[in-house]
Amino acid sequence: MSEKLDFFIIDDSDVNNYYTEDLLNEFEFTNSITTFLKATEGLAELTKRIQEKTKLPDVVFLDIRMPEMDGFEFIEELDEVLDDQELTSKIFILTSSKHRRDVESFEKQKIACEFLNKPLEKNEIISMVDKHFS
Amino acid sequence: MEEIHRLLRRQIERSGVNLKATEDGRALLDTLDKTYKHFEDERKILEESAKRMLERISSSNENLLTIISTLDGFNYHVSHDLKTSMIHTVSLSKMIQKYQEAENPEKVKEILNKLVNNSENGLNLVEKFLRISQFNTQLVEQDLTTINIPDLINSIAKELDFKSPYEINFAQTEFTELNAKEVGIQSLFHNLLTNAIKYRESKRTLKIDIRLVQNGRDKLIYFKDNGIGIDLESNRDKMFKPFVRIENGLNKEGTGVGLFLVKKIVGEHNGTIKVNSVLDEGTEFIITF
Repeated sequence: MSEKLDFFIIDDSDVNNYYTEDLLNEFEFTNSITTFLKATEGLAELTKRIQEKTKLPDVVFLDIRMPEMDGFEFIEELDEVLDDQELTSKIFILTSSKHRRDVESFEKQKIACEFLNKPLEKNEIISMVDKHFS
Repeated sequence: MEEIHRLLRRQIERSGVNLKATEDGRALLDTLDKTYKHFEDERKILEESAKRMLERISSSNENLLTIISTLDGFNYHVSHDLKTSMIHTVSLSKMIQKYQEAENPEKVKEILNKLVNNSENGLNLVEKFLRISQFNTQLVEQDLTTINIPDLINSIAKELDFKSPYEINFAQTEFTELNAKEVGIQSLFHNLLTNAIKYRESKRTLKIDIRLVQNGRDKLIYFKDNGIGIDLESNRDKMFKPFVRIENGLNKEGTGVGLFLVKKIVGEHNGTIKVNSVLDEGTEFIITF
Protein backbone atom coordinates (compact mmCIF):
# COMPACT_ATOMS: atom_id res chain seq x y z
CA MET A 1 0.00 0.00 0.00
CA SER A 2 1.39 3.34 -1.03
CA GLU A 3 -0.44 5.68 1.29
CA LYS A 4 -1.80 5.53 4.78
CA LEU A 5 -5.57 5.54 5.27
CA ASP A 6 -7.94 8.03 6.85
CA PHE A 7 -11.02 6.59 8.53
CA PHE A 8 -14.41 8.04 9.44
CA ILE A 9 -16.62 6.14 11.86
CA ILE A 10 -20.28 7.18 11.92
CA ASP A 11 -22.09 5.46 14.77
CA ASP A 12 -24.23 6.67 17.66
CA SER A 13 -22.70 4.07 19.96
CA ASP A 14 -19.63 5.40 21.72
CA VAL A 15 -18.71 1.90 22.95
CA ASN A 16 -18.55 0.69 19.37
CA ASN A 17 -16.50 3.71 18.31
CA TYR A 18 -14.14 3.14 21.23
CA TYR A 19 -13.66 -0.49 20.16
CA THR A 20 -13.29 0.14 16.41
CA GLU A 21 -10.93 3.04 16.95
CA ASP A 22 -8.78 0.91 19.23
CA LEU A 23 -8.70 -1.89 16.65
CA LEU A 24 -7.81 0.42 13.75
CA ASN A 25 -5.01 1.95 15.79
CA GLU A 26 -3.25 -1.41 15.79
CA PHE A 27 -2.52 -1.10 12.09
CA GLU A 28 0.45 0.56 10.46
CA PHE A 29 -1.74 1.72 7.60
CA THR A 30 -3.98 3.82 9.81
CA ASN A 31 -3.30 7.51 9.42
CA SER A 32 -6.28 9.12 11.16
CA ILE A 33 -9.62 8.19 12.67
CA THR A 34 -12.51 10.64 13.02
CA THR A 35 -15.69 9.58 14.78
CA PHE A 36 -19.18 11.08 14.45
CA LEU A 37 -21.94 10.19 16.88
CA LYS A 38 -24.59 11.60 14.52
CA ALA A 39 -25.09 10.75 10.85
CA THR A 40 -25.98 14.40 10.17
CA GLU A 41 -22.58 15.53 11.46
CA GLY A 42 -20.72 12.96 9.35
CA LEU A 43 -22.78 13.98 6.34
CA ALA A 44 -22.04 17.67 6.90
CA GLU A 45 -18.28 17.01 7.03
CA LEU A 46 -18.33 14.83 3.90
CA THR A 47 -20.51 17.36 2.04
CA LYS A 48 -18.12 20.16 2.96
CA ARG A 49 -15.14 18.19 1.70
CA ILE A 50 -16.90 17.15 -1.52
CA GLN A 51 -17.87 20.76 -2.25
CA GLU A 52 -14.48 22.17 -1.34
CA LYS A 53 -12.79 19.29 -3.16
CA THR A 54 -10.53 18.60 -0.19
CA LYS A 55 -9.27 15.18 0.86
CA LEU A 56 -12.01 12.71 1.64
CA PRO A 57 -11.53 9.85 4.09
CA ASP A 58 -10.49 6.58 2.47
CA VAL A 59 -12.95 4.50 4.46
CA VAL A 60 -16.23 5.43 6.15
CA PHE A 61 -17.63 2.90 8.60
CA LEU A 62 -21.36 3.57 8.70
CA ASP A 63 -23.84 2.23 11.25
CA ILE A 64 -27.45 1.66 10.15
CA ARG A 65 -29.65 2.22 13.17
CA MET A 66 -29.13 5.71 14.47
CA PRO A 67 -31.71 8.21 15.74
CA GLU A 68 -32.58 11.26 13.65
CA MET A 69 -30.88 10.02 10.46
CA ASP A 70 -30.14 6.35 9.88
CA GLY A 71 -27.46 4.82 7.69
CA PHE A 72 -29.61 4.42 4.61
CA GLU A 73 -31.00 7.95 4.88
CA PHE A 74 -27.38 9.08 5.11
CA ILE A 75 -26.60 7.19 1.88
CA GLU A 76 -29.58 8.79 0.10
CA GLU A 77 -28.54 12.26 1.18
CA LEU A 78 -24.94 11.64 0.19
CA ASP A 79 -26.09 10.37 -3.20
CA GLU A 80 -27.83 13.71 -3.76
CA VAL A 81 -24.78 15.69 -2.70
CA LEU A 82 -22.61 13.66 -5.10
CA ASP A 83 -24.96 14.27 -8.02
CA ASP A 84 -23.29 11.67 -10.28
CA GLN A 85 -19.73 12.47 -9.20
CA GLU A 86 -17.84 9.38 -8.16
CA LEU A 87 -17.18 8.99 -4.46
CA THR A 88 -13.53 8.25 -3.75
CA SER A 89 -14.26 7.07 -0.19
CA LYS A 90 -15.19 3.45 0.38
CA ILE A 91 -18.27 3.16 2.53
CA PHE A 92 -18.53 0.06 4.69
CA ILE A 93 -21.79 -0.58 6.51
CA LEU A 94 -20.94 -1.67 10.06
CA THR A 95 -23.97 -2.91 11.89
CA SER A 96 -25.14 -5.41 14.47
CA SER A 97 -28.08 -6.20 12.21
CA LYS A 98 -28.36 -9.29 10.04
CA HIS A 99 -32.00 -8.45 9.37
CA ARG A 100 -33.32 -9.25 5.90
CA ARG A 101 -34.76 -5.73 5.63
CA ASP A 102 -31.31 -4.18 6.12
CA VAL A 103 -29.50 -6.61 3.82
CA GLU A 104 -32.08 -5.87 1.10
CA SER A 105 -31.69 -2.11 1.54
CA PHE A 106 -27.92 -2.58 1.27
CA GLU A 107 -28.28 -4.53 -1.96
CA LYS A 108 -30.53 -1.86 -3.47
CA GLN A 109 -28.14 1.03 -2.99
CA LYS A 110 -24.91 1.71 -4.84
CA ILE A 111 -22.85 3.89 -2.51
CA ALA A 112 -21.75 1.47 0.21
CA CYS A 113 -19.62 -1.44 -0.98
CA GLU A 114 -19.47 -3.76 2.01
CA PHE A 115 -21.90 -4.98 4.67
CA LEU A 116 -19.98 -5.87 7.83
CA ASN A 117 -21.27 -7.11 11.16
CA LYS A 118 -20.18 -5.90 14.57
CA PRO A 119 -17.90 -6.45 16.32
CA LEU A 120 -15.34 -5.80 13.63
CA GLU A 121 -12.53 -8.38 13.61
CA LYS A 122 -8.86 -7.74 12.94
CA ASN A 123 -8.63 -10.15 10.00
CA GLU A 124 -11.78 -8.63 8.46
CA ILE A 125 -10.13 -5.23 8.39
CA ILE A 126 -7.01 -6.70 6.81
CA SER A 127 -8.93 -8.46 4.08
CA MET A 128 -11.09 -5.38 3.37
CA VAL A 129 -8.03 -3.18 3.07
CA ASP A 130 -6.35 -5.77 0.80
CA LYS A 131 -9.46 -5.96 -1.35
CA HIS A 132 -10.00 -2.23 -1.81
CA PHE A 133 -6.59 -0.58 -1.44
CA SER A 134 -3.86 -2.87 -2.75
CA MET B 1 -87.13 -19.21 -1.86
CA GLU B 2 -89.91 -16.90 -3.06
CA GLU B 3 -89.38 -18.16 -6.58
CA ILE B 4 -89.87 -21.81 -5.51
CA HIS B 5 -92.95 -20.77 -3.59
CA ARG B 6 -94.45 -19.08 -6.66
CA LEU B 7 -93.65 -22.05 -8.92
CA LEU B 8 -95.22 -24.49 -6.49
CA ARG B 9 -98.44 -22.45 -6.33
CA ARG B 10 -98.57 -22.18 -10.11
CA GLN B 11 -98.07 -25.97 -10.44
CA ILE B 12 -100.97 -26.63 -8.06
CA GLU B 13 -103.20 -24.26 -10.07
CA ARG B 14 -102.15 -25.95 -13.36
CA SER B 15 -102.88 -29.43 -12.00
CA GLY B 16 -106.57 -28.51 -12.15
CA VAL B 17 -107.16 -28.80 -8.46
CA ASN B 18 -108.81 -25.62 -7.31
CA LEU B 19 -107.61 -25.35 -3.77
CA LYS B 20 -109.21 -21.94 -3.39
CA ALA B 21 -112.64 -23.49 -3.80
CA THR B 22 -112.72 -25.36 -0.51
CA GLU B 23 -112.17 -24.32 3.08
CA ASP B 24 -109.50 -27.04 3.56
CA GLY B 25 -107.80 -26.04 0.34
CA ARG B 26 -107.63 -22.39 1.39
CA ALA B 27 -106.23 -23.41 4.77
CA LEU B 28 -103.63 -25.56 3.02
CA LEU B 29 -102.59 -22.66 0.79
CA ASP B 30 -102.46 -20.40 3.79
CA THR B 31 -100.20 -22.86 5.65
CA LEU B 32 -98.06 -23.16 2.55
CA ASP B 33 -97.67 -19.36 2.38
CA LYS B 34 -96.90 -19.14 6.08
CA THR B 35 -94.34 -21.94 5.90
CA TYR B 36 -92.57 -20.29 3.03
CA LYS B 37 -92.68 -16.92 4.72
CA HIS B 38 -91.13 -18.55 7.76
CA PHE B 39 -88.40 -20.09 5.60
CA GLU B 40 -87.80 -16.75 3.97
CA ASP B 41 -87.45 -15.03 7.35
CA GLU B 42 -85.05 -17.71 8.55
CA ARG B 43 -82.99 -17.33 5.41
CA LYS B 44 -82.76 -13.57 5.88
CA ILE B 45 -81.64 -13.97 9.48
CA LEU B 46 -78.99 -16.51 8.45
CA GLU B 47 -77.79 -14.28 5.66
CA GLU B 48 -77.59 -11.31 7.99
CA SER B 49 -75.64 -13.24 10.61
CA ALA B 50 -73.30 -14.68 7.97
CA LYS B 51 -72.67 -11.14 6.76
CA ARG B 52 -72.02 -9.93 10.28
CA MET B 53 -69.71 -12.85 10.95
CA LEU B 54 -67.77 -12.09 7.78
CA GLU B 55 -67.46 -8.46 8.79
CA ARG B 56 -66.24 -9.49 12.23
CA ILE B 57 -63.72 -11.92 10.75
CA SER B 58 -62.32 -9.39 8.31
CA SER B 59 -62.09 -6.71 10.98
CA SER B 60 -60.28 -9.08 13.35
CA ASN B 61 -58.07 -10.07 10.46
CA GLU B 62 -57.17 -6.44 10.01
CA ASN B 63 -56.52 -6.15 13.74
CA LEU B 64 -54.28 -9.19 13.59
CA LEU B 65 -52.34 -7.71 10.71
CA THR B 66 -51.80 -4.50 12.69
CA ILE B 67 -50.75 -6.51 15.72
CA ILE B 68 -48.32 -8.56 13.63
CA SER B 69 -46.73 -5.51 12.07
CA THR B 70 -46.49 -3.82 15.47
CA LEU B 71 -44.98 -6.96 16.97
CA ASP B 72 -42.59 -7.15 14.05
CA GLY B 73 -41.41 -3.62 14.74
CA PHE B 74 -41.34 -4.32 18.46
CA ASN B 75 -39.31 -7.51 18.05
CA TYR B 76 -36.94 -5.85 15.61
CA HIS B 77 -36.30 -3.11 18.11
CA VAL B 78 -35.99 -5.37 21.16
CA SER B 79 -33.69 -7.83 19.44
CA HIS B 80 -31.60 -5.04 17.97
CA ASP B 81 -31.16 -3.30 21.32
CA LEU B 82 -30.36 -6.50 23.17
CA LYS B 83 -27.95 -7.58 20.47
CA THR B 84 -26.22 -4.20 20.51
CA SER B 85 -25.79 -4.49 24.25
CA MET B 86 -24.33 -8.00 23.89
CA ILE B 87 -22.02 -6.90 21.07
CA HIS B 88 -20.75 -4.11 23.32
CA THR B 89 -20.04 -6.70 26.00
CA VAL B 90 -18.17 -8.91 23.53
CA SER B 91 -16.19 -5.94 22.12
CA LEU B 92 -15.17 -4.65 25.53
CA SER B 93 -14.27 -8.13 26.78
CA LYS B 94 -12.03 -8.66 23.77
CA MET B 95 -10.33 -5.37 24.50
CA ILE B 96 -9.78 -6.42 28.11
CA GLN B 97 -8.19 -9.64 26.87
CA LYS B 98 -5.91 -7.70 24.56
CA TYR B 99 -4.75 -5.20 27.16
CA GLN B 100 -4.48 -7.88 29.82
CA GLU B 101 -2.03 -9.72 27.55
CA ALA B 102 -0.21 -6.50 26.84
CA GLU B 103 0.00 -5.98 30.60
CA ASN B 104 -1.60 -2.57 30.58
CA PRO B 105 -3.60 -2.47 33.82
CA GLU B 106 -4.54 1.20 33.39
CA LYS B 107 -6.25 0.49 30.10
CA VAL B 108 -7.90 -2.66 31.51
CA LYS B 109 -9.32 -0.56 34.33
CA GLU B 110 -10.69 2.01 31.89
CA ILE B 111 -12.38 -0.69 29.77
CA LEU B 112 -13.76 -2.46 32.85
CA ASN B 113 -15.54 0.74 33.86
CA LYS B 114 -17.14 0.92 30.45
CA LEU B 115 -18.09 -2.75 30.70
CA VAL B 116 -19.86 -2.21 34.03
CA ASN B 117 -21.72 0.77 32.58
CA ASN B 118 -22.71 -1.19 29.52
CA SER B 119 -23.96 -4.16 31.55
CA GLU B 120 -26.09 -1.86 33.68
CA ASN B 121 -27.60 -0.31 30.56
CA GLY B 122 -28.33 -3.80 29.27
CA LEU B 123 -30.10 -4.68 32.47
CA ASN B 124 -32.21 -1.50 32.32
CA LEU B 125 -33.13 -2.35 28.77
CA VAL B 126 -34.34 -5.83 29.68
CA GLU B 127 -36.31 -4.39 32.59
CA LYS B 128 -37.95 -1.83 30.30
CA PHE B 129 -39.04 -4.52 27.85
CA LEU B 130 -40.35 -6.70 30.68
CA ARG B 131 -42.37 -3.76 32.04
CA ILE B 132 -43.99 -3.22 28.66
CA SER B 133 -44.94 -6.85 28.18
CA GLN B 134 -46.20 -7.04 31.78
CA PHE B 135 -48.37 -4.00 31.16
CA ASN B 136 -49.82 -5.68 28.07
CA THR B 137 -50.90 -8.74 30.04
CA GLN B 138 -52.32 -6.57 32.82
CA LEU B 139 -54.29 -4.54 30.29
CA VAL B 140 -55.80 -7.54 28.54
CA GLU B 141 -56.82 -9.18 31.81
CA GLN B 142 -58.41 -6.20 33.53
CA ASP B 143 -62.19 -5.83 33.83
CA LEU B 144 -64.14 -2.71 32.91
CA THR B 145 -65.02 -0.25 35.66
CA THR B 146 -66.70 3.13 35.68
CA ILE B 147 -64.10 5.86 35.57
CA ASN B 148 -64.70 9.55 36.14
CA ILE B 149 -62.47 11.16 33.52
CA PRO B 150 -62.05 14.70 34.97
CA ASP B 151 -61.36 13.26 38.45
CA LEU B 152 -58.80 10.85 37.03
CA ILE B 153 -57.01 13.52 34.98
CA ASN B 154 -56.92 15.92 37.92
CA SER B 155 -55.53 13.27 40.24
CA ILE B 156 -52.81 12.28 37.74
CA ALA B 157 -51.93 15.96 37.18
CA LYS B 158 -51.54 16.44 40.95
CA GLU B 159 -48.88 13.72 41.04
CA LEU B 160 -46.93 15.10 38.08
CA ASP B 161 -44.17 17.64 38.28
CA PHE B 162 -45.17 20.39 35.84
CA LYS B 163 -42.12 22.47 36.79
CA SER B 164 -43.90 25.73 35.94
CA PRO B 165 -47.48 27.09 35.99
CA TYR B 166 -50.05 25.30 33.89
CA GLU B 167 -53.76 25.24 33.20
CA ILE B 168 -56.03 22.28 32.60
CA ASN B 169 -59.49 23.27 31.39
CA PHE B 170 -62.45 21.02 30.89
CA ALA B 171 -64.00 23.21 28.23
CA GLN B 172 -66.86 20.86 27.52
CA THR B 173 -68.19 17.94 29.55
CA GLU B 174 -71.10 16.25 27.82
CA PHE B 175 -70.13 13.12 29.69
CA THR B 176 -67.78 12.49 32.59
CA GLU B 177 -67.90 8.75 33.12
CA LEU B 178 -66.37 6.07 30.98
CA ASN B 179 -66.70 2.33 31.31
CA ALA B 180 -63.15 1.17 30.71
CA LYS B 181 -60.06 -0.59 32.02
CA GLU B 182 -58.69 1.62 34.75
CA VAL B 183 -55.02 0.64 34.51
CA GLY B 184 -55.17 1.46 30.79
CA ILE B 185 -57.00 4.78 31.01
CA GLN B 186 -54.76 5.87 33.88
CA SER B 187 -51.66 5.13 31.75
CA LEU B 188 -53.25 6.76 28.70
CA PHE B 189 -53.75 10.13 30.41
CA HIS B 190 -50.47 9.83 32.26
CA ASN B 191 -48.72 9.51 28.90
CA LEU B 192 -50.67 12.33 27.25
CA LEU B 193 -50.04 14.65 30.21
CA THR B 194 -46.32 13.85 30.46
CA ASN B 195 -45.99 14.38 26.71
CA ALA B 196 -47.75 17.74 27.03
CA ILE B 197 -45.31 18.72 29.80
CA LYS B 198 -42.27 17.39 27.99
CA TYR B 199 -43.06 19.02 24.66
CA ARG B 200 -44.39 22.30 26.02
CA GLU B 201 -43.40 25.58 24.42
CA SER B 202 -41.33 27.18 27.17
CA LYS B 203 -42.23 30.73 26.03
CA ARG B 204 -45.88 30.34 27.07
CA THR B 205 -47.89 28.92 29.94
CA LEU B 206 -48.80 25.30 29.28
CA LYS B 207 -52.51 25.10 28.56
CA ILE B 208 -54.34 21.83 28.19
CA ASP B 209 -57.90 21.98 26.90
CA ILE B 210 -60.00 18.87 27.33
CA ARG B 211 -63.42 18.40 25.81
CA LEU B 212 -65.60 15.38 26.51
CA VAL B 213 -68.16 15.14 23.72
CA GLN B 214 -70.98 12.64 23.45
CA ASN B 215 -71.79 11.85 19.84
CA GLY B 216 -74.61 9.30 19.70
CA ARG B 217 -73.15 6.21 21.30
CA ASP B 218 -69.57 7.44 20.82
CA LYS B 219 -67.66 9.18 23.56
CA LEU B 220 -65.07 11.56 22.18
CA ILE B 221 -62.17 12.95 24.19
CA TYR B 222 -60.39 15.97 22.73
CA PHE B 223 -57.03 16.53 24.42
CA LYS B 224 -55.31 19.66 23.19
CA ASP B 225 -52.09 21.36 24.27
CA ASN B 226 -50.28 24.52 23.19
CA GLY B 227 -46.84 22.89 22.95
CA ILE B 228 -44.17 22.71 20.27
CA GLY B 229 -46.32 20.54 18.01
CA ILE B 230 -45.41 17.70 15.69
CA ASP B 231 -44.62 17.85 12.00
CA LEU B 232 -47.35 15.44 10.95
CA GLU B 233 -46.28 15.29 7.33
CA SER B 234 -43.14 13.38 8.18
CA ASN B 235 -44.27 11.78 11.43
CA ARG B 236 -47.93 10.80 11.08
CA ASP B 237 -47.13 7.20 10.20
CA LYS B 238 -44.41 6.64 12.71
CA MET B 239 -45.57 8.55 15.77
CA PHE B 240 -47.55 5.63 17.22
CA LYS B 241 -44.90 3.04 16.44
CA PRO B 242 -42.86 1.67 19.33
CA PHE B 243 -39.49 3.25 20.15
CA VAL B 244 -39.77 5.97 17.53
CA ARG B 245 -38.82 9.47 18.62
CA ILE B 246 -40.17 12.55 16.90
CA GLU B 247 -37.44 14.74 15.49
CA ASN B 248 -38.19 18.06 17.14
CA GLY B 249 -38.41 16.31 20.51
CA LEU B 250 -35.13 14.41 20.32
CA ASN B 251 -33.41 16.63 22.84
CA LYS B 252 -36.08 15.66 25.40
CA GLU B 253 -35.70 12.54 27.47
CA GLY B 254 -37.90 9.68 26.42
CA THR B 255 -38.08 6.05 25.44
CA GLY B 256 -40.40 6.26 22.44
CA VAL B 257 -42.94 4.06 24.14
CA GLY B 258 -45.61 6.54 25.33
CA LEU B 259 -47.78 7.02 22.26
CA PHE B 260 -47.35 3.39 21.27
CA LEU B 261 -48.93 2.45 24.60
CA VAL B 262 -51.63 5.10 24.21
CA LYS B 263 -52.66 3.64 20.88
CA LYS B 264 -52.54 0.14 22.29
CA ILE B 265 -54.79 1.10 25.19
CA VAL B 266 -57.28 2.81 22.89
CA GLY B 267 -57.24 -0.24 20.62
CA GLU B 268 -57.81 -2.53 23.60
CA HIS B 269 -61.08 -0.62 24.13
CA ASN B 270 -61.96 -0.86 20.42
CA GLY B 271 -61.52 2.88 20.18
CA THR B 272 -59.70 5.07 17.70
CA ILE B 273 -57.17 7.87 18.08
CA LYS B 274 -56.51 10.74 15.71
CA VAL B 275 -54.08 13.59 15.92
CA ASN B 276 -54.01 17.17 14.66
CA SER B 277 -50.96 19.30 15.12
CA VAL B 278 -49.43 22.57 14.03
CA LEU B 279 -45.73 23.19 14.66
CA ASP B 280 -45.20 25.85 17.35
CA GLU B 281 -48.94 25.97 18.10
CA GLY B 282 -49.78 22.65 19.69
CA THR B 283 -51.12 19.16 19.35
CA GLU B 284 -54.63 17.75 19.68
CA PHE B 285 -55.45 14.10 20.21
CA ILE B 286 -59.00 12.95 19.50
CA ILE B 287 -59.87 9.67 21.11
CA THR B 288 -63.14 7.95 20.38
CA PHE B 289 -64.49 5.24 22.68
